[in-house]
Amino acid sequence: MNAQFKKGVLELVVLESVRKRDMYGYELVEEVSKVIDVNEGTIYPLLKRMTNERYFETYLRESTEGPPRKYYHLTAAGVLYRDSLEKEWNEFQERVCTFLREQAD
Amino acid sequence: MYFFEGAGRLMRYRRQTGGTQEVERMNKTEFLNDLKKYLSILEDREQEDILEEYAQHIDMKISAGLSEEEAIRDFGSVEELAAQILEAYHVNPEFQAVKPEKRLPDMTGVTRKGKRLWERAVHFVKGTAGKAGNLGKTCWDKVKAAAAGIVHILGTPFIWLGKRLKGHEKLTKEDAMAEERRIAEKESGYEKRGTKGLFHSFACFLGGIVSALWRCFLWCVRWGWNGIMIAAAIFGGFCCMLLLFFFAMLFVWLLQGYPLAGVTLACFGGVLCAGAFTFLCATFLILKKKEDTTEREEMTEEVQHA
Repeated sequence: MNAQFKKGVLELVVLESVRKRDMYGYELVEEVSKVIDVNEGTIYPLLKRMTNERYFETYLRESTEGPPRKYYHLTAAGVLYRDSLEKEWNEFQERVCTFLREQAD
Repeated sequence: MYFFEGAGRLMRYRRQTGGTQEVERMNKTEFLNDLKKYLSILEDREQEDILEEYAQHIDMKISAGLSEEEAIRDFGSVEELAAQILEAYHVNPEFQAVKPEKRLPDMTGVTRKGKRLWERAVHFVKGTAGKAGNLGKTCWDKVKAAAAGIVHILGTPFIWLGKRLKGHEKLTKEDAMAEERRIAEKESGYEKRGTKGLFHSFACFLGGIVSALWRCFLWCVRWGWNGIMIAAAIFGGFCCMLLLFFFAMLFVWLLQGYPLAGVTLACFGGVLCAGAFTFLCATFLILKKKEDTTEREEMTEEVQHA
């Protein structure tokens, strides 16, 4: 898959994953990897950025194994952002599809 | 379009930095240290936060059954990863990517080169100055020796003649010198002692005149040279003081906000230049005191030995 396509929808997939339930980094990477084959290193910077932009809140929770894990929680702003991204994605995807269909005809 | 903005930026960055880099084999601490180096622009707390997360991720992958190396290899190039993290903080990744890895070694290289060049220059200047000084000294010594030789050659016949006429054939050199002095002192006294004494005194007189002339000539040359150098040194010192005054004035103006940085700097350069010139002139002065004292010391040593 085109690397730029992946990059574009990664944010949306991450936001959607966290919306369902709070997740910690590794878990989230695994979740996203199911949808998009992405370099796991790139997800942390994304989480970092969106946390800085207040779309995520983080908190630590003890785990049964190893050190406490940092969980990501979607904020209200994050939910709004996710919705706007989804809308954007749908419109974009629709327009590209119609364009391709028109060209094919 | 929002979606491809970030990706575009990343691709641009990748193209600029040379695209795919070979991922080195490294262990966890190496990876984290490397990453930390790139993230040094961020706050310590943020750095720790990021590194902790990556460390945890690696630990989890290892516990999932992967080897340490494999877990790290999946991250790709540390540089690119760091660039992405920095982008999240709106930091230009190129700034950081260039700084720790490339710019610093270059700078140290340059400074090292500069240092070496400077050392070589200093060595060269010292060497040439020393050589020039030595050359001048040896030249001066040779001239002096040659002149002394000429004086000796010119003067000996007269002295010898004088001695011969007076009948002092077996005189040692020192005695001869002492005799010569005595003769010179009592020159007028010999005039009335017949033809022999007259001739002798005349010869001595001629020898004395030649050596005196030569000494006078040497003295003139020495003090002519010294005079020129002193004049030059005084001129340099005067210029130095004047420029220092101007420099101070310009500096005050500069502090008051006038755009005189260049002129002030030039003036400072002038001060240094004039000072150096003065010093140089001072070093060219030929002073006889030292030689005299050394000679005297040698004499006293000889006396003591005797």
